[in-house]
Amino acid sequence: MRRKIAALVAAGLLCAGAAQAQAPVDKAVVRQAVEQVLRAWNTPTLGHWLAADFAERDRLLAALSFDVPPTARLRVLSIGGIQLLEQERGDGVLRSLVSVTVRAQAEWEDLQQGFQRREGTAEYVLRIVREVPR
Amino acid sequence: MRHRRVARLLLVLQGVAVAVPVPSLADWNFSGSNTVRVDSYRIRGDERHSPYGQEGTFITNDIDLSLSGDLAPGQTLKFDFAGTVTDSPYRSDHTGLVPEAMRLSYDNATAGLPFRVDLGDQNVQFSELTLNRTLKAARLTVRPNSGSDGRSYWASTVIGSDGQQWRDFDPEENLYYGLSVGMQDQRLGTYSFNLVHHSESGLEGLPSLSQWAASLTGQRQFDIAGQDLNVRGELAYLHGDSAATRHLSAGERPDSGYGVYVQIDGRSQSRPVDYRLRYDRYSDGLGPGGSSALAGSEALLLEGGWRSERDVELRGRLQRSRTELGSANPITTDSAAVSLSGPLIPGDRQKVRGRLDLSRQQRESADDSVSVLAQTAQGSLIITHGARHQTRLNGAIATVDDRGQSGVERTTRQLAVAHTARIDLAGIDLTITPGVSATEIETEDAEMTVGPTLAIEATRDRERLILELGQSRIDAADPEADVELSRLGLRYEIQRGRHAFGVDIDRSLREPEAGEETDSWHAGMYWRYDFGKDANGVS
Repeated sequence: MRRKIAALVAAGLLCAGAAQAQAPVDKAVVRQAVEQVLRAWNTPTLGHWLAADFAERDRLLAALSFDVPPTARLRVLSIGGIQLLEQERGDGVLRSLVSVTVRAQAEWEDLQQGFQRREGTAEYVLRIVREVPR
Repeated sequence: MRHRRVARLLLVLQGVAVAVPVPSLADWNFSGSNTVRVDSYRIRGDERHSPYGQEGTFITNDIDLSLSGDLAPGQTLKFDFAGTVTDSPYRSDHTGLVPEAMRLSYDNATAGLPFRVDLGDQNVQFSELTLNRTLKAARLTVRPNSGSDGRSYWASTVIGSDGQQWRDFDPEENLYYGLSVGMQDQRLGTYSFNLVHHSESGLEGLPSLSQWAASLTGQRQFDIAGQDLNVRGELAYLHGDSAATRHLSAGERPDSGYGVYVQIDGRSQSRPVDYRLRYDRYSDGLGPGGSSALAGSEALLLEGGWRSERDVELRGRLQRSRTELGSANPITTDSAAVSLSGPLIPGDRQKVRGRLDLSRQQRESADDSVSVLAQTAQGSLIITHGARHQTRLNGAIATVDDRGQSGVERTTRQLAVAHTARIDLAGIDLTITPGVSATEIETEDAEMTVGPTLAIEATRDRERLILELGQSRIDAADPEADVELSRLGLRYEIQRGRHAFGVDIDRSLREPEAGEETDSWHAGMYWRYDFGKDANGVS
């Protein structure tokens, strides 16, 4: 079964459809997705993971180009609560919007000050698309 | 005082929702897991240069569970919980019991006025410019019957708080309440009106904030001249304090603002072409707490893509954004990016695949005090040699030139090569990936980082082992600043029935040419137990 994973910033209109039974999301897949996206942070491949409608997409990529040391990388310290926010079925796929709280730190070597790290906790919203039988 | 009344209302709503009838246990779907972890962190040498801020051994118990059941046909109750009991500073700012996500939802599709109640953590998307946040909230949504096919109405009201943890929960610190009403019609499109009040208590040196944001949204699909078009937009007005101008003195702060965006997404019906055009403009006084819109900005975006029958894809993106429009010195950022990907051998699409990304960003202020240009070229090649071998090459060149300061230019060159071999060894699926990477940064103080990497993954039945090794040396212009870095990561997990046991080990060794070395270790063990997937299995 092939899975596509893409980060997303929610946008759009309120969808107020009737409730449907939700399929559980494989938490191992969510953790793997978080690690893949954060591994791409501050690399030219980050843009491939951001949804086309990611709010302030270009500002984020510009900030990384202009303001962040080029060798800085993120280390995942812990992955906290995983929450399924929304789910919809359609056209042979199951789309799940998942919120994950991640504790991570940016690390880099500064030639003057040595090893540097900056820690933070952030919420990431991922769109996980899984192919399902039609 | 008003906020206290609102907080009390939140509690009252919770009480009402909890009072719904509960189904018998046999009707529940119940799933979840409990994970007990022990993690130990040790540092030898210069602690200032360790990736770990605190030594010690810490215990964590993570739990997540989900319960759902049908109370009656069309009536669904669902409860989700995720939290931890921990003393680890790497897991939480708090010690003890830390609830992280809680949500109770009740949906009744068969009532005279179908409705849904959501309590706890939830994604509230009224609109892009009024409220689009994950809140700890109470929300009631009603869906009146429209009486006509293909049309539906909704009204949703919410009260909730953003940026909060359940421990130390203080809804008054950052509170939203609002209303969204709308209509969705298959032929006419989707339209909504949104009204949101947001308040924040005063931060250090900044006054408290109180604002109303109202907006109209519209979205409609068109079929014109062989094009599938989806047009959407929003017009918003904000009255009150804007987060963007909060730092200004009372006389200088605008007390209102407006914002608008229009977006057209299109796709050709006869060609593999898609495109997007978007325009945003937000005045200085617009700064809704529930939106990511940037006050005092304007942006125009054009992007498009084409995919051939031979799996070649070409995408391009152009954007001009202007920020700090209300200042005497607005900043303009022009971005352009193009990417080309696809197979390089026409007869075999999987044999050799390539990708090329080019981007250019220029940031300039009106008075030329800011003038920075960043350019990036990145290429990758994936060569597949049969079913068991694959070679990957990645290269990138990035330059950042601060034209405002002569001689301040940074060029980064990166090259990475890795080969993956898959071997079946006595029932073990073994993947070995040796590689080498090099990064050169050219500035006034040039540096070169180069070193090998090795990743090994072994899987068998329900066992998995991952070993990652890396070594690199940073050669600086000043030999005294040279540093050797070594790292090791090992993950092992074995599953037996509903149980999983695992070990994580990380080591980072930093050896500077001058000064003390730093040897940092993390070792963790865990046991995870997965609850039953079905209610009938729960005892």
